[in-house]
Amino acid sequence: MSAINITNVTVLDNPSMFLKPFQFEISYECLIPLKDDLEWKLIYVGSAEDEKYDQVLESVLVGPVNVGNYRFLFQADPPEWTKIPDEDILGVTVLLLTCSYLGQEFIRVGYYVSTEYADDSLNLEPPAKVLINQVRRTVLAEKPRVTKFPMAFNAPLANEKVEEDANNTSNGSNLLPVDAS
Amino acid sequence: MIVEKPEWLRHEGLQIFSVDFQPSGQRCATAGGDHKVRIWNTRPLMKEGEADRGGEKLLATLCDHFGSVNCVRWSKSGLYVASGSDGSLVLIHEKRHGTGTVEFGSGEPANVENWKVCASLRGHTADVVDLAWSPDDSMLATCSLDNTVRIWKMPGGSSVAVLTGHSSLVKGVAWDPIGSFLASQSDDKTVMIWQTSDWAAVHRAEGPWRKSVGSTFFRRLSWSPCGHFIITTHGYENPSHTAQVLERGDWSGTFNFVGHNAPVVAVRFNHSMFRKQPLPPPENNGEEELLQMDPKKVPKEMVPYNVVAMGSQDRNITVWTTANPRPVFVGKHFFTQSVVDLSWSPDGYSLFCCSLDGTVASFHFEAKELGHIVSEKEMEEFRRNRYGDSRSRQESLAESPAQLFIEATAAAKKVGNSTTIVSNDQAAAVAVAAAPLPPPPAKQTPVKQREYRQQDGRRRIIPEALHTEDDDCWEAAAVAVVAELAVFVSGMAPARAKPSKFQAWRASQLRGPDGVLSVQVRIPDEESLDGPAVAPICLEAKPVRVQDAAAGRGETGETDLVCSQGGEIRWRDRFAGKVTALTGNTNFWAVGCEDGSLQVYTMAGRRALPSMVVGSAAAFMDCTRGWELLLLTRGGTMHVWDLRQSQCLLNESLLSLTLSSSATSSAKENGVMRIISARFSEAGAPLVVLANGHAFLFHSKMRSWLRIADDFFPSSSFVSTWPPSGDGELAGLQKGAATLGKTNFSWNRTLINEKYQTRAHLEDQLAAALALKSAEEYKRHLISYTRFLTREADEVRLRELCEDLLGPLFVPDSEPCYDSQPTTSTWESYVLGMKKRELLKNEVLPAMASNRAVQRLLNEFLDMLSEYEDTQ
Repeated sequence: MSAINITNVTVLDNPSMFLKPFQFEISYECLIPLKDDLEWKLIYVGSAEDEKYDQVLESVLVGPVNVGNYRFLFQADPPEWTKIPDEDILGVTVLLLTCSYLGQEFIRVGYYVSTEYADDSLNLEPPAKVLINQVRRTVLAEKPRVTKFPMAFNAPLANEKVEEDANNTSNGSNLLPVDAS
Repeated sequence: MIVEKPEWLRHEGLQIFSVDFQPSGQRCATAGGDHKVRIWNTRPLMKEGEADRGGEKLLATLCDHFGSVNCVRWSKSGLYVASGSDGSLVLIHEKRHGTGTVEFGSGEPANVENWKVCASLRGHTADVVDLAWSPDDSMLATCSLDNTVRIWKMPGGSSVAVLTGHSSLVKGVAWDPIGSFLASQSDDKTVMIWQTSDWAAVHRAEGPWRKSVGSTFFRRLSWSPCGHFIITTHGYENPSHTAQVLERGDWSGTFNFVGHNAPVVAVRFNHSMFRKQPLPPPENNGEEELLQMDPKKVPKEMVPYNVVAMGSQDRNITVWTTANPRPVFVGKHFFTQSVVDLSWSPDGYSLFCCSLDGTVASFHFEAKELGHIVSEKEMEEFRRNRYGDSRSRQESLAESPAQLFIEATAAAKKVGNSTTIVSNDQAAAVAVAAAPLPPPPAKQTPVKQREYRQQDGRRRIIPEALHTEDDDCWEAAAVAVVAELAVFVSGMAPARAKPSKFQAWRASQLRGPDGVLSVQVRIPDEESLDGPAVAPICLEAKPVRVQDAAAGRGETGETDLVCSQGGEIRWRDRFAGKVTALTGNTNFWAVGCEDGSLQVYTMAGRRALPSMVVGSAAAFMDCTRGWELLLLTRGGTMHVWDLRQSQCLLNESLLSLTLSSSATSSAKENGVMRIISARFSEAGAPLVVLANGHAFLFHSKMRSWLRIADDFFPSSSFVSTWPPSGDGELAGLQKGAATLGKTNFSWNRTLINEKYQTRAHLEDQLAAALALKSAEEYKRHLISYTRFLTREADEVRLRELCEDLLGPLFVPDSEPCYDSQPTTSTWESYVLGMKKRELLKNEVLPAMASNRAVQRLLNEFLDMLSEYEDTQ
C-alpha cells in the first residue's frame, strides 16, 4: 500500500512556449505520517532512442509529510534544448513526474508532450535550423499514465511520529530553547 | 428463484477471485485480476422490485494492491474490508468521512465513498490466497502460498501467531463460529485444526483429499453456523469429486457431498440455519418450548438444518441442506470457467457466486426452496446451549452490578475533571479543534506554499494543507503539543524566581535592583492580624554610606537596619558588618551577617539574644510561623533552632548532598555547590533546592535527606503533563527540577522505558508527596498511580496498595491515631489527615473500574470494604 496517493495534477500554463518554465499543481493525500521528505522530480525525455538525453529538470523536497491532503506548485525550468538531438526537439516526447521516498521511487506519472511551431506555416516548411523561440509545447494533461511501485513505508507508531514532528518543527523555527537552564 | 448476472459487475473483464457481502447487506465487495477491490451497492442487485434499484452501483474502487487480489472479506462489524493479493500483501480498508477521490490517472470515475487503506499487514512471503475474520473481529487469519497461516490482531494489525504445519501451499482458512478453533486446508492434502487459545495444532486430518488430482486456485473450506461441521473442498472418492465433512470433536470425516464433475473449489455455509416450517407465532411461546424440549421429541419439520453452497471447477454451483441427501439446487451453464467464491446475503436467501470468467451471478431463493430462516437470537441461544456462553470467556464483561455502578460513578467524575483541564491550559487547542472548518479552497486559488533552499542548495517546499476532517484532527493534535511546549517554556520563569510567593505569612527576601547591597524584608501579616488592610512591616538593611569628599562614595562596613510599617519607621538599629540574609515573622526577626554572626530581634526591635556565631556567613534563612528558625551557612551547615525553647533542633551538614548523584556539574562548580533555596517546607521540614532543581527534604525522624524532586524520569508519561501552576508544593518543586535540570527531554521515547519510568516516577511522586505532607498532591498522585496500575493490570501492586489502604479488620475508628496504639497495630487509619478507607472507597476503587481486567480484585475489595463497614 502506498502512504502517499496523488489525487490530482493540474498542468498550468499549457500549452506554452518551449522556453517557458513548466508548472504543475500537484495534490496528494498522505495516509501515514512519514519521517523524511518526499522527493519530487520532473524528467524530460530528450530522445526516445537513448536514456542519456533524459534531463532532470528539477527536483524538490516536500515536507513535512503528515496525514492529510496537501498541494503544492512544482515549477521547473525548461530543458536545455542544446542538449537535445536536433531531430528530437520537434515531435512527441515524454515528460516524467516521479515521487520518491528515501531514494526509492514509488509513483511515476508519464505525460506525452508534443512540440511544434506555434506558427503553422513553419510546421509545413520547417527551417533547417530549429527556431527554438518559435516552438510551442503541449502537455497531454488529460492522459497521464500512472505507474505505482510497491514500497514499504515502514512507518512506526503514529503517536511517536506526532511528537517527533512537533520536536522537529519547533527546533527548526527556534521556538523551543533546547537548553532549558 | 430468480437468477441474475449483472453485466456491470466487472473487473475489466478479468477474473473475479472473491466476493463477499457486508454483514449489514448494504454493500458487497469483489476482488479481481485487475489488482483492484471494488465495493458495490447491493440495492440494484436485490430482487425487491425495480423501484428500489436506484443509486450508484459502484461505490468505490480500491487500487492499492500490486497484484491480483485473491480474497476479500468484510469484518463482522462491517467496518473493515480485508483483502489479500499476489505479492504477500494484506490490506485493511475502512470507510472514512467525506466523498471519495479519483484515483489519479486510473481512468476510473471518482469513488462515491471514501474507502482508504488503514493498515497493511506484512509478513507473508508469497501470494495471499484466503483470509477470514474471527467471529468477534479481534483477529484476522490469512493463508498464503508460503505454506503458513498468519494470525493478526485487529484492528491494529500486529502479528499474533504464525502457524507452520502445512507442508504445501495453504489455500483456505475458516474460523469456528464459537471462536475456539481455526481450520486450514492446504495443497499438502490435509486439513489442520488449530486451537485459538495457544495456536497449537490439535488435529491433522488426512481424508479423501489424498486421492485428489489436479490443482485448484483455492480450497475454501467453511465452518457451519452451528459450529458442528466443517465442509472441506477438493476431495475425491472414486468415481466422483466430493466435499468431505469433518465433525467437531474427533474431527472425523463420516460423510461427504458427492456430485461435482470436477474439484470443489469453494464452500460457503449460509450464516443461519433453516427449518422446514416457520415457528408458531410467539404468543404460544413456541420458541422457548422448542428449545427446552428433548431434541428427539421436536417434530421433524422443526429441526433446524444448515444450508451450504458449493462452487466447483466444473463451472457448476450446488446448494445443499444438511437435512437432505440430494442438492436443493444445481446451477449449470451460468459460468464459462471455474466458480471460485460464494457469499450469502445477510437475509440468507440470496447467493452470489463469482467465477474466473470475470462474472458474478446472483441467485435469489425463496422460503419454500431453502426453508424458513432461524432467527439470530435463536442461533445465539442454540450455540449457547451447546457450547456454553462464549461471552463468559471474554474478560471485558462486567461480572457484578457493583462494577457497573462504580464505572458509572467514575465516568461521571472523569467528565468533570476533563472539562476543568480543558478550561485551563488546553483551551487554545480545543478552540482550534472546535473552530468551524473553512470551506475547501477553490481549484484555481493560488497555492499557498512556503519554499526555501536547504543548506545543500536543494529546494524544499512546505505544501499547502487542504482541509478535510482528518486534516483538522491532525492540526489540533499538533497545536496541543505546541501548547504543552509553551507551558514548558513559561514554566521556567517561576522556577527561576526566588521562592517568593508561597504563603502570605512567609517573609520574602528581595534584593534591591540598584546594585547596592541592600536587603529588604516584608511581612504581609494580614493573616496574623485581624484588620483587613494592615500595611506590611518592612525591615531594610542598608549599608551605611558616607559622603567623603576625598574618597568619594565609600562604605563604612556598617549597616543600618530600619523597620518600618506603611512608611512609618518603627525602629532602627546600626549594625557592624554586612548583612547577607534576613528573615522574620510575627514573633521575631533574624539577621545574618557576613562575618558569620546572627542577630535575633524581637518584634519591637529588642535584641533577643546575644550575637550567635555560626562560623560562616548566612546564605539562606527562613522561619516558620512559630518560633523555628532555619539557617544555611556558606560553609554548608544547616541549623534549625526553636527560639522560644532556646533549643537546637537540627545541625546537619549538606555534605551528603554534595556527594549524591544529584549534584551534577550544573549544581557543583569548582567544588562549590550552588543552591537555589533553603527553607522550610509548608509542613515545616527543612527543604533544600540545588541549582539543578533537585529538591531535598530532611526527615526529622529518620535524620536523613530525602530527594523529593529530580529529573530522573525523562521518559515518564507524567513529566510532560504539567499540572497547572501553583497547584501544589511538590508540583512546583518538580517543575523546577525538570526545567532547570539538564534533562535530555526526549521525544523519542521507547514504550518499554516509558512504562517502567512512569511507574517508578509515580511511586516516587507518591512517596515524595507523603514526605512533604502535601495531602492534595498525595491524593492526586494516588489516583494517577492507581489508574496507571489499572491500565497495566498490575494486580500485585494494586493489591498491596489496596491492602495498605484497607488495613486490618479491627481498628478502633476514633480520632486520627498517630502512634496511639503502636503495640497493637502498626497500621494507621489516617494518612495526611485523610481517612485511608475513604480514599480507597472514593478514589482508588473508582479509578480501578476503568479496566475490567482487574474487576475481580476490585470486587474483592468492595466486598471487604462493605464487610468492614458493617462491623463498625
